[in-house]
Amino acid sequence: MLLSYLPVIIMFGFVLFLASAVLFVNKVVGPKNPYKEKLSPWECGMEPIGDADTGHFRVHFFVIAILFIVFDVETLFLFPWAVVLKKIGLFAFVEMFIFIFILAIGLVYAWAKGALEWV
Amino acid sequence: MDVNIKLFLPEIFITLFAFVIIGIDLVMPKGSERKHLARLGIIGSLAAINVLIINSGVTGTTLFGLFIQDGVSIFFKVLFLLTGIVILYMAMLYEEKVKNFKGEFYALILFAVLAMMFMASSNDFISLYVSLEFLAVTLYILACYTKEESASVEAGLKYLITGALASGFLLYGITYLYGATGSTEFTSISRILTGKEMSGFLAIGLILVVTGLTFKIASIPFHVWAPDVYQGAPTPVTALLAAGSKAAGFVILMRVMFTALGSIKPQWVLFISVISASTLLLGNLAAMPQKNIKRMLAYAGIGSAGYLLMGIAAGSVLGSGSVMFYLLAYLFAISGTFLAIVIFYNSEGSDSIDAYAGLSRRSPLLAATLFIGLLSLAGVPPLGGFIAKLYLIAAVVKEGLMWLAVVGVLMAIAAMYYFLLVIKRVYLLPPKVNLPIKIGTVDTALLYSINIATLILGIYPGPFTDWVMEIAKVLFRGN
Amino acid sequence: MITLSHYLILSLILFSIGIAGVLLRRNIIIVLMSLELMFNSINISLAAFSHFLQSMTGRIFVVFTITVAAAEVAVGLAILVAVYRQRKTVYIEELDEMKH
Repeated sequence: MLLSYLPVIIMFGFVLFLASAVLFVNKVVGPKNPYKEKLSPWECGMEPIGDADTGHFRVHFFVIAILFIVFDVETLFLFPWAVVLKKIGLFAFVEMFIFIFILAIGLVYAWAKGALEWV
Repeated sequence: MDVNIKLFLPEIFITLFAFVIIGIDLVMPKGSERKHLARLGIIGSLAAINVLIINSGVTGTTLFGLFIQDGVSIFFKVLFLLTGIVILYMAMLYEEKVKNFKGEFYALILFAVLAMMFMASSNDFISLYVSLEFLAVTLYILACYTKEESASVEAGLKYLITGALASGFLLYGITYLYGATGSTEFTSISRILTGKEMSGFLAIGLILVVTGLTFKIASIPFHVWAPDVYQGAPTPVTALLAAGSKAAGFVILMRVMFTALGSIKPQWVLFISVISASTLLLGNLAAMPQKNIKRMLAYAGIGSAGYLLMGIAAGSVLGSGSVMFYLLAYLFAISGTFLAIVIFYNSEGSDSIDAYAGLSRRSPLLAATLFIGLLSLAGVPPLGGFIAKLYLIAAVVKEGLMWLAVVGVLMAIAAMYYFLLVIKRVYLLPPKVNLPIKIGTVDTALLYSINIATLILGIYPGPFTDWVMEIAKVLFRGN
Repeated sequence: MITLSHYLILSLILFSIGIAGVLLRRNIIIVLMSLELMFNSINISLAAFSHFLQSMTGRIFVVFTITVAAAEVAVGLAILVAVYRQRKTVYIEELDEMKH
């Protein structure tokens, strides 16, 4: 019973080893040449305002996170659908596309209302 | 595929109208007036009522037993659509207060009505839960709609947190009922439970489901949101919460208690009776010292939930018929009162009870509406609310719950006291300023018809009570 | 061997932690997280019942619960942002405008 978990443990150990090995090699071999722009969290784009570790993010990230949730949950419906698609046939196919279409309309609507504009 | 479109045609109508409203709103110039959208919504609701009445003979279940259309659901759908019409009209009067997203305000009200219609038709815990949450999410947004006002967003947040907590309880209870019976469909749960002993799973499930549902009807233990949310939310939304959301809570409570759990009635009668009595006491006693009229109506609404629970505790055709009659009378009393509050607020900018002093000299019609509406809520003859309370008390007496009836009668007297305090200000105290309040023609017509409806329900209730008693029999088909 | 009661006890523990979080924590974001925890604990017991009763309904219910919970939290976050813009606070006891 427990033996069937052995591959998982081996996998876990391998991942742990590889990750630490890469970090270690990087630390030893990699050239270091730090300067101010390189150390900032965003090397390109906007000037950061304040530190990221205080937990103060732009409120606008929340809006994008909320829009993301919709499509995140959509995959929850896509997985069981994909498994039984052949059994149910065309009806399920059309039904799911109607579902995705409705969600897409929601996104387009949010877009048209200006939710994606960076204000 | 088990799809019979004829059964949910009115819902399709409302959905289409709501989306059309959103669509038109998108192409309308920014910041312009959106009152035509409310009128469109009212037309849509009227059309849906027509479709309902034309197809009222078509009943049955569809969508794999998730959706049921029967006498009860048709009654409640008409009730919800009427509520929707009044609320949309109220929102139209309130439009100046809503700064942004005016079009969506009307669409969301229609979506709330749609959710309530689905609740009236739920025949399975899955559809019950999904439609209940659909309504809840819509109402969370509506409650904090005037987001420039801090009271409104505060109300929305409090509503959301208590609502989510309550729906957690409800869902946990549903899980255990499912575990005890192996089904989520009401009629098959009832079939499985017939002749069964009470088990641990069943008891936990029953208690948690009832506790979770008390949130929607604003009774103990999940009543705490009501005062703050009623006060902070925009007034049309408060009216929607008071008339619509409460009725929707009761239709699912009736379906769950009578259709699904009717066969174990002896196990839950005492539980419901205790909730009912404590809700009656708390609501009516806490309403007395209130200074804000919306907050006072919130406590009065908690008291009403106590009365309505008496009908559930009776667990009979008489009890559930009385619940429906009460909700009908309640709808007219509440919509008249809140319409008067909105008109008064538009003119005076205040919801405080003291501001109503001398209203009878400034606008006799508003004063009369408050008089009829509040006294109907208090249960004074010859108004609709009196007959409704009489039937509910008769229903519990018939089931042998004398003590509950006594609490009911005593609290009706208490309710009389705090409503009369408002009426005293309206009629007997002198006004601070003696300017008449302007009321539009349509407002006048609507106020008159609502008042007449309350009077008819009180003076000539015979046909209506016969009608609801006939409908209520459907709920008990399982046993 | 893991039985139904193991799952139910796990679910009960998580549910209690969730309720405690909702009722005791002051930060609204943590309250919303506790609500999520409550819903997910319920999903565990639904899935467990579904497995041990050999019925599909519970599993279907889980899908709906997750969706609804996501919608609820999305609206919750949006309202929280509105509250923060108004009051510059995310602490629940500072929201007491309507005492009377």
